[in-house]
Amino acid sequence: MDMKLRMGKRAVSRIVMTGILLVGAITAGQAQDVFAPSDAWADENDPRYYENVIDRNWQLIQQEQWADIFSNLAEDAALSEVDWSGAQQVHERFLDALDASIDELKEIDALYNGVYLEHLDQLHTGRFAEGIAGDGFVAFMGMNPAIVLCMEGAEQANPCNQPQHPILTVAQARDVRYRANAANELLLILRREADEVILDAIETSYKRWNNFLDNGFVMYPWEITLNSALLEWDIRTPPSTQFIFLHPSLGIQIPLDGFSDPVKFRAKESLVIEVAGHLWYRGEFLDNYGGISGTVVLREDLPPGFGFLLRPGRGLSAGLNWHLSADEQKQFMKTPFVTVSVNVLNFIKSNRGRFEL
Amino acid sequence: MHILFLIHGMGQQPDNWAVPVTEHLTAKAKQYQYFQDTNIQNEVTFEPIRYDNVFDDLLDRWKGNFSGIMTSEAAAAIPKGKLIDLMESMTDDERQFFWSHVADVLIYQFFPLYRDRVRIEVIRNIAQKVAGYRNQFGSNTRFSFLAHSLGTAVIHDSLHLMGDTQWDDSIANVMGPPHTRFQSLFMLANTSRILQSDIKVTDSIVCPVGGRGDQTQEYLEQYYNVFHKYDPVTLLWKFSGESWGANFSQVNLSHFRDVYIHDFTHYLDHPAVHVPLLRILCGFRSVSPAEQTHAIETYKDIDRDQVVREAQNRIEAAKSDLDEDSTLMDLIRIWVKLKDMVGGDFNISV
Repeated sequence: MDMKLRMGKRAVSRIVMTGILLVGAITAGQAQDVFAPSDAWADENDPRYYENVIDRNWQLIQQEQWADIFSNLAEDAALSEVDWSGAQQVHERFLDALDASIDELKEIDALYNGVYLEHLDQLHTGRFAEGIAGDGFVAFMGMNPAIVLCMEGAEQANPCNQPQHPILTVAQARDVRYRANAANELLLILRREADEVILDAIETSYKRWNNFLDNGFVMYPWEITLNSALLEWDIRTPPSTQFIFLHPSLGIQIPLDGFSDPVKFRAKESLVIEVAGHLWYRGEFLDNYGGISGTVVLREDLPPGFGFLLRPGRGLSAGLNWHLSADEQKQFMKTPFVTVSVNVLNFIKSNRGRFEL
Repeated sequence: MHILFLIHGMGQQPDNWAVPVTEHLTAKAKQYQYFQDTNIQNEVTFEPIRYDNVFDDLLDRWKGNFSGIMTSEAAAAIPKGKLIDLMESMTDDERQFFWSHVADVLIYQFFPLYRDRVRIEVIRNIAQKVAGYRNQFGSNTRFSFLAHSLGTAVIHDSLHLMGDTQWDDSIANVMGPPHTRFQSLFMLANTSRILQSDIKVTDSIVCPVGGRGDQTQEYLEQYYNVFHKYDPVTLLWKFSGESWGANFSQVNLSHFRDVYIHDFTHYLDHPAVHVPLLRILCGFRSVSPAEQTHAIETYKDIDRDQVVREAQNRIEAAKSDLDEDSTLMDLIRIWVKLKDMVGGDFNISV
């Protein structure tokens, strides 16, 4: 029913579109030409029109008897009442294309019990797709050799100047175009679910890349170079880990004993350099991450501090640092500092709207 | 309906970047009888594709921090490389041009992670549009691409990955050949060989029917490569697809209608470019053979004035700095030197 409904919607859309194109055709005076790319040439009452072909084969479509459907198409095409003199090779080429599809469908039936979705690599679903050849001729490039709708007056144009592409009469062109369009529509119905799967897969990949690079932990140029050299990925999914190297950011330091003694609680701005670290991205879409880094913290009132930074998730991170003593630089101060790092670049990005940056 | 995807070149683009291109093509179409009583938009839908937002976003994130970091004491420990060396040798104007135009090219070429980020942006955009337009106009909807400059490399790589990737582990990629095939690809100022990286132009599926002798490796019905002899962007590593057979067309230009010879519309202006494009979009009868001959013959009768001679001299001088051993960085130095002709106002007094 769902498919029937979609077909109905498509039919309505097609009728509206055809109406629009017909108005254009009357204006242009040429759009009903079967040799023109526009769809306006087709007569919806013709039994060869794709919607009528689909209606006639609807029960077989529901039963997924695709080889039988294409056998019906081949039988109808072979009995075509059109006079093919002068272009017999084109008619035979079209019948051969139908036979090729029938063979492929029968093979999938025999080998995989009619399970098509996972075996579309063995079926040429684009064989009857309508396209363009040479100097703008309607063509079916998926057939081998292609069928090109060459019209009178185009004898010198590419590729109608070649013997395998004879000039067709209007009746011949309409016959092959009707039948190819119907075969193409049927193959698109057969593969519709695969189209949706691929579209979803591309969307999933996009979300992962978006989260990894646009919403992930910002890399400086040298980090991009490093990660590009060390990590493996493909277009389907970016790396799920990331190396941090010489990554500076602003931080705030508070003495650890300041949390128990309010008198000693003093927050001080500092420069945090993550010398080396590692991140792990989580979730199907890599929408969160965590990690750890070794840090050097620089501030104007103390010698350098050394320690680590933990990053439990996206956003703020925290760590501990031990600064060298100001008086005796070979020793560390007894009290470590809690370092909270705010990644400046992430901060700016996530607050761009608020600060109108 | 024929959908024409438009893919811009290097540099930050305004929201309406494609308007001059579509207006120019529409105006050119009006030269021909078929379009006297009809508008090209009745048969063609223009669909601009943007990817510059990926570069802009990254550059925005760097800009506020890059200068401070590079002038800090820690900068000595940071690997600089050729990019920084090049920047230090520039004037302020050249540096501004660098950030607005050349940085895109360098990020795309030298940062593979961001290269793939750009590609997935374009792939997703095309896939969604193809599905949407097929639902709207039916399965006979046609799709073509008109790409310029950096956009040619981006669309080459994106189409290859879109059609060649096994997106699902168990289901064949029906968005790739032979299941799906696009009608035409027009490459203006083709940089796909200059910026070639992990996807080799000679091995990719972005070739026309007959190009490989294997329908599963041929994603296009027609491939038009448009080369301008005096475009500074493509002075090196000229693209060639002549071994791809009858569905590949090479168009060689040397016209001067605008000293900004690299401009998208300057390419499109030539009848050797827009006539085949109009025919692909609207059919053989949209431009008669007599009209085509007349348009090309008339177009060749252009007087080349002082500005043209000046531009030629500048290009020739720049070319003399290049040889077989030149690198991409050498070519980029030429682009910066000729920035007026590559992407800005022309400042030569005449």
